[in-house]
Amino acid sequence: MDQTLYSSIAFIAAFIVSAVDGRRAVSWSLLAAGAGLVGTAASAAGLDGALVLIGAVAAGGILERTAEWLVRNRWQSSAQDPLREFRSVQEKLFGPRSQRIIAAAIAVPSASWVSFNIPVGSVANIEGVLFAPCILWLCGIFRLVLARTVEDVCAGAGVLLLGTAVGWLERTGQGGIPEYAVLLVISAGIALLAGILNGRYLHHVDEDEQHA
Amino acid sequence: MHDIRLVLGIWLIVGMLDGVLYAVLGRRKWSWSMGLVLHLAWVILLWWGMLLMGTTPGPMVRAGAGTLLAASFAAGILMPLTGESDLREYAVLAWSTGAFLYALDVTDPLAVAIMIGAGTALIAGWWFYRTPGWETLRAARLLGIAAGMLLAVAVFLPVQVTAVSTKFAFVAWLYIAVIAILAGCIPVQGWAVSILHRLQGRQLLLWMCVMVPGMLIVLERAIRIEPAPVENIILGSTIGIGCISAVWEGLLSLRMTSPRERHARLLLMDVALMVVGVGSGSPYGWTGALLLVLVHIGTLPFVGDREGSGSGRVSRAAAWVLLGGVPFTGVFWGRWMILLAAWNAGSWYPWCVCLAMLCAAAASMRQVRFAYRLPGEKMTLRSWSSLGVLSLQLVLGVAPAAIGSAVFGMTLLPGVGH
Repeated sequence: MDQTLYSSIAFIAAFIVSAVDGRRAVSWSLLAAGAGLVGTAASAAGLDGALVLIGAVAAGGILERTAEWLVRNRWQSSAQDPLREFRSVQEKLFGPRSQRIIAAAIAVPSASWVSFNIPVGSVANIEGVLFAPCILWLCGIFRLVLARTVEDVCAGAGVLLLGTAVGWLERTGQGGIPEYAVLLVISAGIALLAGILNGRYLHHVDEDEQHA
Repeated sequence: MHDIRLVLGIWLIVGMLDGVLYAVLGRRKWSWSMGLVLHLAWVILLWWGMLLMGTTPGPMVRAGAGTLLAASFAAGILMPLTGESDLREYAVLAWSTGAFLYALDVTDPLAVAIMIGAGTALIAGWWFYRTPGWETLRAARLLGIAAGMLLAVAVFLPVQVTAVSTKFAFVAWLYIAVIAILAGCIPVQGWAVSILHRLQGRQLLLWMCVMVPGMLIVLERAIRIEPAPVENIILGSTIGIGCISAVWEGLLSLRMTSPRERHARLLLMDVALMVVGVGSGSPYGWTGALLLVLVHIGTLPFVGDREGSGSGRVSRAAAWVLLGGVPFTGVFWGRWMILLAAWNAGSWYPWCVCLAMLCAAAASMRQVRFAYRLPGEKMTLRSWSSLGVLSLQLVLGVAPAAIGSAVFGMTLLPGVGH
């Protein structure tokens, strides 16, 4: 398969990552980013690279759900809503999601420039193979820049780590799989953290409903 | 003990023990004392272990590790003095210090990025947990961006260098952005200003004890980049940013009216001076920066009129005089060393450092004159006890520097040390 196809998938994934919102934002954005990067990972390190990525994304999703369920039902704790916006939102022409999508549109030429001008490892810069990790890394950064909630921060950090991991794989090839796996494990850990935070808040909500 | 990774491992175990103790003891009032005892015992043990450690590569490792240990020791003692503390704070201190110690030891850029990212994420997460709000979320966002950029540096950093290219300019730009964010320099100082306004003294101890030395580590890594033109781009830019920030924060500290705002600006001015000192690449700059870190740890919880600060008016006034840079105190020597380093670097840098020093002196005198004058007030028992607290600050600030000079080879005076 050629790089154009991988880049096109990453382009679509970048817009999904920027658009997702709500309580499942972390796992959906990790899933979209994973789908956008799996082809590039496979081309850089073969089947191993792709399988580790798929495993980490799946583990992230499962861990998030499991942690949320466990904390919600078992632990006696309460916390603030990770979806609470800390900045007062005024009536504006563009809301948070629109701003993220505009940022993703800005990320396209930036990622393209980096992928054609900044070579990594032994990869020739004319191939543009860095486009997929770069655009997703930039979407993660922009998601952090525009974050108003804890969930946004977690989603941005998770996507940023996936982009960096695949960029590292492009740099090192199959030899860099241990470091690549470490970065992916941290991104799954972020999904776990998001699940715990959601569970703590939902436990609090359940208790309030029972009292009512 | 011949490997700093062992130090890290022990430190992580200390953090875990703190967490387990917290789970067992719950929120009992005295539970923090267990954390303090554990923490101090391990720091002393590790210090002794580091004395036995053989020669390690890199000019920064021993001095940096010594400073981190001394800073952690001082933070451990000062935390309970600045209000209600608990075991989890000690766990955060242990884990973040361990992460930065590891970053100090390794040369692999990805490991450095992961460890600095982990350390800053822990601190930012703790800040948000203790004081949820827009200021702490904004700090978490900015520090996350800095960690992300550091990871990108690890990906793009060339393995072998033959010639200067666009790639180097890109890596240099990323490094400069990371340093500017972590140090709270212009134009990204907003997060640090709001954090310094909002947080309590003991939460800020984590910033000064761990995050600021972490920023110095990043700068040290940047200095090692070859070839010379790239190194010059990074160093020139960071010294320039540091000088402009120091002057800007110094001038703003003159305008501030509340002690907390003025203290925040002076702290940021000194951190910018640390960037200048380390960016100059001179041992004087390093020593000055490390000395400033240690002295500020001593004064941080007690000035700025923060809730829970355990000092009285006389003590605060004396601490402000100290922050003004009265000759022969720790702050004075720190800034003086940085001035020497800036002088060696040449250009317009020393003039900026001089201006910043004068601004700091004027701001502290204004603070003492307007906020802490004592018309006809007698020295009460509280005032004397406050002076005792100030003496403790001075001891905690200056003694580790003196020990650091003797043990870790930091240069305190021209011609002394390495």
